Amino acid sequence: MRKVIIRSGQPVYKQVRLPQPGTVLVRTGQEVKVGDVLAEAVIPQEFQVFDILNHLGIKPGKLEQHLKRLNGEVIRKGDVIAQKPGLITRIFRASQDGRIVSMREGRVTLAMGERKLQVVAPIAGTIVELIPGFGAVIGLTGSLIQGVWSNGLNASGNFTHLKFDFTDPQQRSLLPDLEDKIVFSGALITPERFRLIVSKKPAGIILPSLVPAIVEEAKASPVAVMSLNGFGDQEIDPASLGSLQKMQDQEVFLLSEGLGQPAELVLPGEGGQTSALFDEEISLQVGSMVRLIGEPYLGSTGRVVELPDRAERFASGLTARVAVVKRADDEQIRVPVTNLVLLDVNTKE
Amino acid sequence: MPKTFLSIDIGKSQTQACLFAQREGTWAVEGISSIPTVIEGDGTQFRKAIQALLSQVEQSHEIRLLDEHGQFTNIRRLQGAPAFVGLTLSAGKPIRTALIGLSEAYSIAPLRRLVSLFNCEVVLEVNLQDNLNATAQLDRLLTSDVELYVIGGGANGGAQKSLKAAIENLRLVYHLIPRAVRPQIVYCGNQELAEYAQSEIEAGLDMHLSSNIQTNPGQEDPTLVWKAMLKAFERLRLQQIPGLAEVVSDLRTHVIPSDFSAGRMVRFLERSSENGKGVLMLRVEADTVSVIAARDQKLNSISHHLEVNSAALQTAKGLSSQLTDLNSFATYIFNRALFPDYTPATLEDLSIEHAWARVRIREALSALQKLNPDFGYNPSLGLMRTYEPIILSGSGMKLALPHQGLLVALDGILPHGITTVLQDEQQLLTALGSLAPQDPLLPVQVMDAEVFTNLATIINVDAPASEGQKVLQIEVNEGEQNPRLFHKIQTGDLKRIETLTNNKTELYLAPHDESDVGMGIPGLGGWVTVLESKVGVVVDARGRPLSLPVDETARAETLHNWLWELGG
Repeated sequence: MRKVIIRSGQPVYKQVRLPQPGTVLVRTGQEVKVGDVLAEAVIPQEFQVFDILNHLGIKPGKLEQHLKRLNGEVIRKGDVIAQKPGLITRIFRASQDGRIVSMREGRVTLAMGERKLQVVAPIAGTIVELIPGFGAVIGLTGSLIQGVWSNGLNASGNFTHLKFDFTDPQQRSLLPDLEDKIVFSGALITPERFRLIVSKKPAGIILPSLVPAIVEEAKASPVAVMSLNGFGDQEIDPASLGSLQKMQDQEVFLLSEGLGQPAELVLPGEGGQTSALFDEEISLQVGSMVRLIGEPYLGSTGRVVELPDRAERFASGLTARVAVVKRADDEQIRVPVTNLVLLDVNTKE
Repeated sequence: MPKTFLSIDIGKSQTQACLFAQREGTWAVEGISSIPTVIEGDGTQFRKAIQALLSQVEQSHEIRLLDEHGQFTNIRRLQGAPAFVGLTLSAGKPIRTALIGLSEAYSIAPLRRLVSLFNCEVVLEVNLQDNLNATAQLDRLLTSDVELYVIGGGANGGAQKSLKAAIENLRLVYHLIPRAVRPQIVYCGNQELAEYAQSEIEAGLDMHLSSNIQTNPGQEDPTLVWKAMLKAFERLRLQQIPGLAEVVSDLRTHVIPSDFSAGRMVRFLERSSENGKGVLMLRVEADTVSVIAARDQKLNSISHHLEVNSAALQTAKGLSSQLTDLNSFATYIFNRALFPDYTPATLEDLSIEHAWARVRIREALSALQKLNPDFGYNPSLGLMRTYEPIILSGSGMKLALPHQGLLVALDGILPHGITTVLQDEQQLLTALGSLAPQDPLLPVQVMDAEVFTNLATIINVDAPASEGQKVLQIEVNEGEQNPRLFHKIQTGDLKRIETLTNNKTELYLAPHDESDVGMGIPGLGGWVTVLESKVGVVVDARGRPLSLPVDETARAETLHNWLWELGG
């Protein structure tokens, strides 16, 4: 069952790793700031394969006497790698600094230049675990809101809850300054409204849900986008709204797990429960707070009041295990357990 | 105590264990258990999940799978453990694969067909006849983030130069770039270069040699490469899925792709069939549709994922039996991708689910046709070559009542002639395929016990007649005691004829002169004997391509009427 955490005083762990092995530059217990390099791998900028036999017109048996450098040697720009003297001397020189990585059957391969692959801390915190050769895990405590979809970009900035009347054409030019901010809007965001917000150059956009018409734009947007509930026209749940209100004008971090993957919105620094030792794996039970993911209740929340053992048949004719959920308006509904998202919220909420 | 075999299939959303026992010389299904699949994390959760599954099996049957503390152990040391455990896997992202060959027709295309059975996604193709210079070729090989390289090409004793250059580049790729997951290399090209490739690339156990996939010019035999591909698949998955290596070691088994395992059985069914037709399996999962087809002793397969796009949404919306606006339709499909275990609870949700499944099936069949032009599928005319049986399986098929699932498959496949549709409700084909090499009697005896649900017999009528004209008359013989029943079939009809319970039903097909019911030539009819099935005999005279009204309301009504005709 899908679960999302909406909590304050929550331990947050962010794994940061290189796509390929390299050197980890931090140690356990070290405090890191946003942008600190955690690990890096150095790889050649480019390769060049040169067929000496063909290009210099050398017979295979005489190759050795024309080669001026050995496999594995470090070379400088302009160094002669192979030379065939004659009326017109033919030379193969290194076009950049680098190294000879292969000499086989008359073909020389040069690895030239240097390119660093680095991974940096997207959020400040303490290194709680090293991933040898790849990176580290940053740990911190703070308020956490998990969303179910993001466009793969990370962002940070001051949080602002945009309360703007998009329906009033007179206000169109009055959209406040959003530059470098993480913006939340509870309004229905159409493609036109999405473009309007993006034009204000925010660092990130958080929406309760994405209408299908903006999915492609959100995927391609240079601005980090996160959807809390998924897709369609859904309202934000009270627990998430409460947490967001506490984030107003504070620096928050939008951390994505990749394109189309979940993301987290984190406000660091709130104390409280500080150790993962006390983490409790919550599961669906009577009293659990849940979000509904099917029509006609898409996005609404409630509490589980009963979990019958027997599966029930639905209007579609399909049979599934059910939960009886009491919604905020006191209506009790029976929904398939598979159509619930378990909300892990602070007890008092 | 009976001899037992256990199969475990780690699927995309569910992991299922099937226990088989041999009593008095006959194998039968003893029990089936399942749990949600967990492959993320450091391996702890994965092991715990498999342990919980084995514990479930232990509690329901007299069998030992875990030690006295309920923990994993070397299964061979346990008394009362299964004699063999088969392990199959479809969970995990497709393997990023590069194909390197000497020509499109003789090497790249056969390699595409080869890797499609092993959950691979081809991210790079290097055709050595494209005269890509060595630097550009190396650059492409380095930047494509490939996990599996498959090199084919060249007849034995043929030209070697460009293949040698590619092998040299692969050596550099393998050694120069450190990787989190060591790439695997399968060599199935010119055999005179096989040893050269092995010594040159120096990839140790990551190098897998096989016979040349090209047996003669223009002839391919992918089965020669399967062993090497299986080794490469296993070595990759053991690195990619934390905890899998320990599970494989404790169970003393090997892990193979689920589609490959099911493919074994599809191939077996085709070989043992005497009807001269192919055998087709369609596995509909939440995010993929696998098509596995065997014909003329050749196996072809594809696992196809359809990206949500506006064209596909628009097409699917037109195949829904309920009127839904495009925004609601798209919202459902996008959310469905986020929540793959979702159960459609309303009629509207169900109709969207089924409409999307129709499009996904068509796209998967089209993709297999592109991969293998001999498959015989035309996107508008349907499956032109005959396959019998057609086996439906997968979690997607569980989101439908029998007649609904049948119609979804029928509208997606659009078969011709006469065929039988079965449903593998318990996903047994995959399990049987993983155990078959250990005891070939097991799948034969289990399938003899009619473990598959007989959904329907389909009789398609191809006729040039216009809408409403009579194309076929059917006489139904339900035995001496019952009067004969006669049905007139007109163009555009979709008709269901119920079959007798626990008995055979005989039908005499009398097509009109130009109507083809799959008896060989138009106008030719005859007796057809069918067994009891859940839906019955479905006579499809709707024509190919399916003709649906342009008007949205009329179209939904037509689709609804078809559904109603098959069972409501």
